[in-house]
Amino acid sequence: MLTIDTLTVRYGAVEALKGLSLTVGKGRIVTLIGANGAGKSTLIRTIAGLVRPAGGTVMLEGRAITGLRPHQAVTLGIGHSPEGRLVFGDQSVRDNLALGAFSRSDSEGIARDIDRAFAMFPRLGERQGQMAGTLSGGEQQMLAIARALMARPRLLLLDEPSLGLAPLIVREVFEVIKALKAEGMTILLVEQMANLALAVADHAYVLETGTITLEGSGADLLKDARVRAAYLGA
Amino acid sequence: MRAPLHAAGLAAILGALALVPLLPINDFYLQILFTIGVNYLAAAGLNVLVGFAGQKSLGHAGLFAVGAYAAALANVDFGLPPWLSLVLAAAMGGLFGLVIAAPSVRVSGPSLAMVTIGFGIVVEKIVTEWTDLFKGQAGIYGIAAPSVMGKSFTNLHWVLFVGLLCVLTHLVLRSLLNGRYGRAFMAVQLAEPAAESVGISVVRAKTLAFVISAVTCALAGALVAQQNQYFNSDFITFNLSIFLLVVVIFGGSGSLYGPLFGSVILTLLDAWLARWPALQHFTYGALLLFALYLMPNGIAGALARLAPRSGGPMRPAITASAALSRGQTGTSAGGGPLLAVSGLYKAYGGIIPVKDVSFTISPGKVHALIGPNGAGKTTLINLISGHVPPDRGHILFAGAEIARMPAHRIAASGIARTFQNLKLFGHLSALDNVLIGAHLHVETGLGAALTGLPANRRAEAEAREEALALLSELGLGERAGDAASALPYGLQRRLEIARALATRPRLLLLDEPAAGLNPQETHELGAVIRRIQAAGITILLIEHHMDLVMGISDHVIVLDYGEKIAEGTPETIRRNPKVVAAYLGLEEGA
Repeated sequence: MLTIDTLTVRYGAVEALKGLSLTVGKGRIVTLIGANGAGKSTLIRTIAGLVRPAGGTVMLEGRAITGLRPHQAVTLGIGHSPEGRLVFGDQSVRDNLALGAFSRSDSEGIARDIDRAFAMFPRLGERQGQMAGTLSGGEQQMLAIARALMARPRLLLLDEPSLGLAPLIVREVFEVIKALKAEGMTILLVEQMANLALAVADHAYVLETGTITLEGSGADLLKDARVRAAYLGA
Repeated sequence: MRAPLHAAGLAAILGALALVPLLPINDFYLQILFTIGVNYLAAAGLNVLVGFAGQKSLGHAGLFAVGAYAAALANVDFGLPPWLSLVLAAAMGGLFGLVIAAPSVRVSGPSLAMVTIGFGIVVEKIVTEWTDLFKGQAGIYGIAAPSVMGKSFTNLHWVLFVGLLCVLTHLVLRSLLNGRYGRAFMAVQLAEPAAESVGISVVRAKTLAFVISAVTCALAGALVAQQNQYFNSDFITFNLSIFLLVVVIFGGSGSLYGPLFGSVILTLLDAWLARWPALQHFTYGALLLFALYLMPNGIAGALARLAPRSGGPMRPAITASAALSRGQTGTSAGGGPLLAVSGLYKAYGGIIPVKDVSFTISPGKVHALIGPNGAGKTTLINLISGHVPPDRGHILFAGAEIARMPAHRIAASGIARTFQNLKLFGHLSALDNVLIGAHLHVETGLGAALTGLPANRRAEAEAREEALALLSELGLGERAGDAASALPYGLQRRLEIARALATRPRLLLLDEPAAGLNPQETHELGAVIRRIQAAGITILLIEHHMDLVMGISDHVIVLDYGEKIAEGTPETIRRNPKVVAAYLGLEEGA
C-alpha cells in the first residue's frame, strides 16, 4: 500500500529523517515507536504532504506521491489525524466532521458517517452543537480522529491518537483502531503508549534520530529487551 | 548585534555626524538628513509597539500632530521657551499614548488597527476644523526654534541635534529591549495567556509600548514644527500614519535596526521621487507589495539571514537544584493548607465544567487531578491560575483570597502553570522562553533598563545562568538555542515546565505534563517531578498516565462532569468503584 524509500527530510541544517525506508502492507497496522525528536511526526507529516522531503520517494499503491500537496493527499485516500488536536475551533463539532468530508459529495453517506462517528465517540454526540474550541483537550483529540475518518481514507495516519485521553477512552480508541483494520483499512500509527501500539500492530519499526534501528512484528518487539528498556520503561 | 560591532557602528555614525559641519553640504541635503532623523525617531518608538508588543497602529499621525501642535501652541500662544515646549510636547505625546492604549486592552489585530485609524482621523479633523485654536490650513507661524548660547538653531544645528537625539533614543531602546522588558513585549505579542502565567501584566506592557511610541512620535512632530517654524493641518494625513508604519515594516519590524534601514532608504527615496509626485504613492504601494513578498521580515530580517548564526552549546555554571530552590522560603510552619478551594463554580451557558468543587492542597506534596475527558480539570486549573474568573466560590492561597485576581498577579504571588495546549513563545529560543519565565526575578526597574546600568547587566547574567540550569535539569540543555517551535512535542512540554519553574513558584500546576512522552520518558519525568517536590515546591498535576499518577502522588482528586467524585491516597482511588466505572475501566490501564 505504502512504500517509502530512502526518504530524507531537512529542517535547515538539521536532518530529521536520514534516508528512511519502510513499507506498510494493505490492510495492516504498522506502528512507529521512538523517543521524542526521533522523527516520527516528521515522517507522518511528510506522507500527508505537510513537509517537503529533500530526497527519496513515497509511493502509494505503486504511484509516486512524493512532495504532494496536503489536499491532493486527501483526495488520493490518505487521512491524517495530526498531533496536538488541530480542530476548527470556531466551528461546531458536527461542522468539523462535515469539513472532514470536504472531498466527498455523497451527502447521505456523509450523514451516515457522522452518525457512525457519534456512535464511536458518544461524548462527541453529546456535544455536537458545541464549538470545537470549547471542547476539553481530550474531546478535541477524539474529534481529530473522527474527522480524519470522514474522508473515508484508505490509508489512515494517526499521530498520537491517545494524547490527553482518559485511560478508559484510550482503550476505546484502540478498539476503534482494531475495528477499522477489520474493515480493511490500512493504518500507520505513531503512538507514545508503545506497549498498546505494539499490541495492536502487525509490524513495527523503531525510529532513532531519523533512521530505523529495529523492526519486527509487534509481538516480537514487545518482548525485545532493548525495546523494553528504552521505550517501555520496564 | 554583538557588542564590538555595535560600538563600531555607533562610532561610525557619531563620526559621520562630526564630519557634517566640515562638508560642503547645502540646505537641501541638510533637510534630508534632518528628515531621516525625524523619521527614525518616530519609527523607532513605533517599532516597539508594532514589532515587539505586536500592536498594529494606523493612527500615529495623530500623535505626530499632538507633539507638533503642543510645541507650536506652547511657544506661540503661551510664550513658553522652545526647549520647554519640546519637553512639554513629548509629555503630551505620552499622555495621549495612555489614552489610545486603553482600547488595545479590549481589542486586538485588525480591530485595534481600526480604532487607531479612528484616532488619527479624529485628530486630523480637529486640527483642520477647529481653526480658532489650531488655525487649520492657514497654519501657525513664528514657532521659535531652540537656541544655543543665544543663537537660534541653523539647519546644521538641527541635523546635529536630531542626530544625537537619534543615537540617544537608539541606546535607550536597545538597553530596554535587550532585557526583560523586550522579552515581556515579545511574550505579549506571541502568547498573552502564557505571558500572564509568568507574571507579566499584559495591560501594563501594551500601555508602556503605546506610551513609548507616542513619546517618540510626538517628539518627531515637535521637532518638525520647530525646525519648520510653521505648522499647518496639511501635515496630518492618513498617509503619514501609513508612511510611519511602512518605515517600520519595510525596515524590519521587531529588529532594533529596522527603523534605521527604513528611515534612511524611504526618506532618500522620498526626496528622489519628489520630482514626480505621481510616482511617490505608487512606489510605496509597490514596495509594500513586492519588498515584503521577497523579504517578509523587512530589510533587517533579510540581512539577519545572511549573517552567520552565533551560538554553540551553552553550559550553566550553577546546579539545577540551586536554581530550583531559589525563592523557596521553606514550607510554612503553620501546617495549614497551601491552597484551599471551596464552592468553586463556573458555567459556560448550559455547560458547567466546574460545579461547587472544594478541596485543599497541602504544602510540599504532589497532588493529582484526574477524571474523564471533559470533566472540567483544565477549567479548574484555569480558575486557580486566574486565566478564567469563577462565577462564585473561594480560592485561598497561603491564606489570601485569589479568586478573581488577574492572572499575572496570581503568578506573582507564587503560582506557576503549564498549558495543556502548549502556549510557548514559538520563534523565540528555548532559553528566551525560560528567561521570560524569570520576568519577575530579573531585578531591574524601568529606569535601570532604560539607562543600561551595570546592575541591569548583572541581573541579566544571573537570570541567564538560572535559566540554563533549569533547561539542563529538564534535559533541554543542548537545545537552549533552538526555537521553541522547532522542538519535538514532548520537549516543548518540558520547556513549559522549565518556564514555569523560572517564576520560582510555591505551587506548580502541571496540565498533562506527560502527554506525548513514551513510557520511558514518562518515567524520567516522574523523577524530575520528584526533584521539584524535593526543592520544596508543591505540585498539582492533571495527568492520564496512571502509572505516573499512582507512582508519584501523595493525594488524588477525581472529577467527573464538573463535580468531585472522590479523593484520597492513590491506593484508595485505585479501588474506588465510582472512579473505576467513570475513568479507569475494569482492567488496570497503561
